[in-house]
Amino acid sequence: MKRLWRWLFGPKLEDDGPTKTEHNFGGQVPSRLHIDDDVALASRGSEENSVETTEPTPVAYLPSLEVVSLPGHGKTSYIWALLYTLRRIDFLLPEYACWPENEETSAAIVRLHEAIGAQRLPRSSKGNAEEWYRLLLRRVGPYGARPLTLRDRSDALFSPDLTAETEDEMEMEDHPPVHEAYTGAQTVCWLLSLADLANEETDVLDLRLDRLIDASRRSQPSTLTVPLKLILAFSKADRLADLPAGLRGELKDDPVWQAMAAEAQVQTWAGRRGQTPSWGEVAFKSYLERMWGIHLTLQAWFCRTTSGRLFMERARARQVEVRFAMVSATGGDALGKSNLGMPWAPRRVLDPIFFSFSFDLPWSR
Amino acid sequence: MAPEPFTSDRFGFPMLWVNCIGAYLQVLPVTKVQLEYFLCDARDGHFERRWYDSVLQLNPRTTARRIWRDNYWQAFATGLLPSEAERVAAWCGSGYRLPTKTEWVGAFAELRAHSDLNLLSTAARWAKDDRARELLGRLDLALRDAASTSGLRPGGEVLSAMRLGAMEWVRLEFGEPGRWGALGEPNPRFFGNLLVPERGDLLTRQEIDSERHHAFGFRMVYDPRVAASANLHDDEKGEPS
Repeated sequence: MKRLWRWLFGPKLEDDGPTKTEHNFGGQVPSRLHIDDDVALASRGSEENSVETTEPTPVAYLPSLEVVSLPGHGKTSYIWALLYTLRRIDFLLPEYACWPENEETSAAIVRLHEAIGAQRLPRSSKGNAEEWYRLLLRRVGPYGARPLTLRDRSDALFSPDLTAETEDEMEMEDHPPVHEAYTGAQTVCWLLSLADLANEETDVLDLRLDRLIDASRRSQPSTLTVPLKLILAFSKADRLADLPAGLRGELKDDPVWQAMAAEAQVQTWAGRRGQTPSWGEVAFKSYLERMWGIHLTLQAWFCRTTSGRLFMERARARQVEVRFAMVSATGGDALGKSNLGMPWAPRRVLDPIFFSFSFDLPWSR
Repeated sequence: MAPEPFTSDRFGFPMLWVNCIGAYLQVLPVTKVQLEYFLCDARDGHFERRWYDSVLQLNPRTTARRIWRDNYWQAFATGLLPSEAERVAAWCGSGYRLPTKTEWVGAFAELRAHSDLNLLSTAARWAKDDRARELLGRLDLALRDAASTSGLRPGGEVLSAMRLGAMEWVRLEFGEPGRWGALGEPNPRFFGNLLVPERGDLLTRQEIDSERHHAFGFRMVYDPRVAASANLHDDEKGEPS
C-alpha cells in the first residue's frame, strides 16, 4: 500500500518555504494570500506579473499536460470542465487555492465560467486559433503546489488521414502543421471518445499512438529522449453503453461533483459558503485509491478487444507508461445545438491531472 | 376487491397495477404503434402528417421485426411535447393522465423490486392487439440484450424501459421549478446521461416543455376510480359514456 501511495502522490513539492513574497497575480489573489517561494520559482517566468516589473518578458511556455484528441472528441469541453472544477473546489481542500498566472488566463477563465453558467457549449476549435491557460495551484492535497499550463488547439497529430507519410501530406486546411501541433510536453492526456469512433477508426488506435510517440520524440530538444507518459482518458463516458456498471456508478457518484453540487445547494439556500465538509488526508487518499482502481478496471475493459490489446502491446514496446481514466465534461448529452440545456455536471475530470502530477519530476531550486 | 395485476389500455397494450400510485401504469412508454392508432383517429388538426414527419426526424421509426439492442428506442414515441402527450391521454378517455414525479419514482422503485423477471411476457398475455404482442416480444429480447451489455440485471425497471428506455415527461408538483420535467435513465447510445432515477434525478428548466427533444417520451397512468366516477357522472346526465 505504501508503494501505491508513493506512486499515486509522486514526489511531493514542499510548499512551506520560510520566505514569503507577495505578488500581484492579475488581481485574482485574495489580499491575504502569500505565495510561497517554491510556487514563485515553479511558475517559470511569473516575474512579469510581479509588482516591481513593468515590462513583461516573453517566455516560451510548455504545457505541463498536453491534451490531444481527435476532432469532436470533447477537448475544449474537457478543458473548460477541468478549469471550472479547479476553480470551484477551494471549499473542498484545506488551504487550496487556484489562481490565473496572467491577465489572459484570468479573462479566459471569466469567459468560460460565464459560458458554463449560461449552459453554453464551446465552439469547435479550428485553424491556428489557440488558447493558453496558465494557473498556479496551491496545496493540491499531497501533491503540494503545482503550476498548470494547458493549451487548447485543434490537433494535426490526429489527422483523419492515417495513410499520409509526411508532415506536408498530413497538413490539413483546418489544422496547423504537425511539428507545431506538439510542444514537447512529457505527459500527454489523450481524450478518446469511443462512442464517436467508427469501427475502422478503432482498429488503428495503435497506429495513432505511434504517431503520437514519434511527434513527442521529434519535439524533444535532447537526444536523450524521455519516455512518453500517456493518460488515455475516455471522454464523453456518459455515452458509453457498454461501460461496466461499476464504472458507470463511479461516474455517477463522483465525490468531487457531489461535493460541488452540495456546496452549490448550500450557497443557494443559505447564501454563504463553507457548509460542505472539506476533505482531510484520508478522504483525498480514498479518492486517489478509487482513481487507481478505475485505472485498473478500465485497462482490463479496454484490453478485452483486439484493438485495445494491440494498443497496449504497442505502448509496452515503445516504453510508454499508460494510465487510464474516464471523464464526462458535461455529465450528459446536450438538449440543444449550442446550449447544453441543463447545468454542467462534470465527472471525474480531475483524474488526468492527478495522474500527471504523480508522473511529474520534482522541481529543484 | 384487489385489482387485477394487469389491464389493457385503449390501444390494447398492457398496463400494470402499481400499488404506490393506486392505479395502472403502462408497462412500456407509449410506442409509435400506439401513437399511430391515435393519429388515425384523432380529429385534432394539430396532429397532421407534417407534424408526424417532424417527430420522426428526431427519432426514426422502425418495424417490430427490425428491433434489436442498438435501435429498440426507435419503437418509442419520442419528440412529443408534454402538452401533446396530454392530448393523447385525453383522447384515451377519462382516468388517463401523465404521472407526477413522485408517482414515477415510486413506480420505478416498485418495478425494481418486482419479483417477476418475465414481466413483458406475462404482460403480453393481457395485450389485446397482435402488433402489441409482437412488439412486446421483440422489446423483451432487445432490453435483455442491452441490460447484459451494460452489466445490469434485467429487473422490472429495465424490462419496463424505465431504465435503458427514454426520458419520460412527468408533471411536477407544487414547489418544483416549472410544470414539467423528465425522468429516466435512457440507453447511453440514445441519450448520454449519468442520471440516477432512484434519486429522482430530474431534467427540468424554464421552457423545457416548449422544445422537442429526441429522447423525451411518456407513459400514462390509468386510474379506474376516476374513470368510474366520470362514467357515473355521465350516466346521471344521461350522456353516453
